[in-house]
Amino acid sequence: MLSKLEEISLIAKCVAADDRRAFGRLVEEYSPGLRRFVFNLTMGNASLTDDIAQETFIKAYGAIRSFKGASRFSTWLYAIACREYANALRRRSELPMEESLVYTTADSANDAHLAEMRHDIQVGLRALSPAERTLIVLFYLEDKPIKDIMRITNMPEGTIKSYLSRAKTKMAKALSDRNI
Amino acid sequence: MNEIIHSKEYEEITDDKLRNLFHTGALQAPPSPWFTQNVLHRLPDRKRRVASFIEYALYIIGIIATVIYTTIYVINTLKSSVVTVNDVITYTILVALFVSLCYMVIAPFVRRDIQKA
Repeated sequence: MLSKLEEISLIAKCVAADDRRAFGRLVEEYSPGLRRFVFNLTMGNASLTDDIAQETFIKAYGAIRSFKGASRFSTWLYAIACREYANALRRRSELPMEESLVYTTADSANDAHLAEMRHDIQVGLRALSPAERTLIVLFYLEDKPIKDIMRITNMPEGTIKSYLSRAKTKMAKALSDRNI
Repeated sequence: MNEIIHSKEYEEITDDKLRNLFHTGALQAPPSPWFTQNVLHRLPDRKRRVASFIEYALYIIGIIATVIYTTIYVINTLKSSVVTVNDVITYTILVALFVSLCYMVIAPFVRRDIQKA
């Protein structure tokens, strides 16, 4: 993991010298987490995930001069990713997003349990609106504190908490209904 | 029976349960070994920096001016057929100026090549 100093040094190289190798290093560092985040938002749509994640990094590079360093670079990236996800939803509003459940084959009891958990997550996430889904994934999967989520989503604290609470209830209901 | 227990588990969903569920069972994006390369290929072309362009233009103008002045100075010296100490000092300054300006133009490219190597 990059230290804050290394991160700033790489960003400075990008800003001052248009250093693409430095930016490549930032992409390598942050792409696994960002792709996982987007992959969960898109309910396992791999091609859409790569589109959104790539677009996020390209937009980040274009706007890197506007990064003031008030938050971590990853927080700033997640904010761009959320906007790109919203744009993707808007673009696809005429054609509904493919939100088919991803079933995985289970080779052992352990795998079966994992597959069941994955399925539960997908069922739960499907019951949510895109905004709720974004908040749930940021809070429970990415472990982002509310302060960072406020920066990422540009929502006030109270709204985030009420969305999270509502989303949790919806997920619980969806998962309970599924098992009846 | 198992399903009933499972169902009840979710009726009382807590932050810890949900966090644990996500941490253990969240979808993992399939590996994409070419992701970084794809991003770098899609970046916009490098913009020619105006400041850098002006800097190089000034160096080139400086080199041309030095060469012209030196040539005129050499012609005048040859015409007078006498070389004074002043002439030697002027030649030394002109040569030093020429070498410095050339160094300023070439050095960044040499440094970049060394870094790449």
